Amino acid sequence: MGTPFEDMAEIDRLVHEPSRLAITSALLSCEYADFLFLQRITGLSKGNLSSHLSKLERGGIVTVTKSTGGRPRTTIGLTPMGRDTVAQHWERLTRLRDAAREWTAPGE
Amino acid sequence: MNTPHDIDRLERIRAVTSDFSGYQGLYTALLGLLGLWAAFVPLSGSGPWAELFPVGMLLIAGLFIVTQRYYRRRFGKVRPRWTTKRVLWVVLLPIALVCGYIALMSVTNVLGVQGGWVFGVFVGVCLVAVGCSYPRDRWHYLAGAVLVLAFSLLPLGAITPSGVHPVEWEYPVMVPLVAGLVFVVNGLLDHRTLVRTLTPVSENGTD
Repeated sequence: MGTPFEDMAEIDRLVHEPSRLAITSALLSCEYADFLFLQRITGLSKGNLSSHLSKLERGGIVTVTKSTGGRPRTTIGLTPMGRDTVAQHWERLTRLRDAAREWTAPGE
Repeated sequence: MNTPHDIDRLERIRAVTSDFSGYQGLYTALLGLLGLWAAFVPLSGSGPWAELFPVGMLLIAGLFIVTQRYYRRRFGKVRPRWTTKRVLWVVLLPIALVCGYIALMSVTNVLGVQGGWVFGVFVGVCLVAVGCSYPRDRWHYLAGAVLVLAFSLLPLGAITPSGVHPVEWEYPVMVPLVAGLVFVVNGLLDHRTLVRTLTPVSENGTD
């Protein structure tokens, strides 16, 4: 565990982008979710969500499974590595938030 | 950099995702409607609408199916993660609550103090359990628990014209009535949290 500034320097840009952080935070709290749920929770359009998911999939953070039986459905889940990465990222964010709460400006 | 406000929203996203089915409050509201129905059309057959009991049950079952379709089509599907905490809250706690209720029934039966208040206490404790699962978003369950427990335990008989405590009234059955109202309100508040967290999408349809 580093100082708050070292923590900021180590932030994973792939996960930290706000939309991708919302996607991965949701996925951290479940086994998997379908495309519609992620669209709802992020408020992104289909195209934007697909683009973010492609980036996360290329980075090995999520797996995207398309089922063809019956109604087509896309489910998304974190990979084991992705789960570790996002959990560590959350720990870092929580530490930063706590540090920001305790921080006082010089002269105060 | 994410601001604390953003982190609050992300934490709400995590809370709603991890207990997605719990936040589908229209089910809770339907459970409340069932309570209201049982209050005015009790199984004992008392009251003017006794013969309407099956109609209400069919109506509520129909609404349940409609609600299921609505949630699936509007908000999608999530498979929950069976963490230790979830097993504790969703499986072990309900079993413990039912066992506790049976024990309370037995003890009060032996002591000769059984009455409608026992069920009121059970419902109140259940509401406390739900309220404690995510206290920040579910304070309304704790408020509902206080209301149900106060209604069941306070000596309200002293202020009724008949002198009989409302929980002992034969018709309407008051504990399901009060609990039903609390469930309807709490369910609608849960649904509101869900709708606020899961924003409308800019394009219609599913993938």
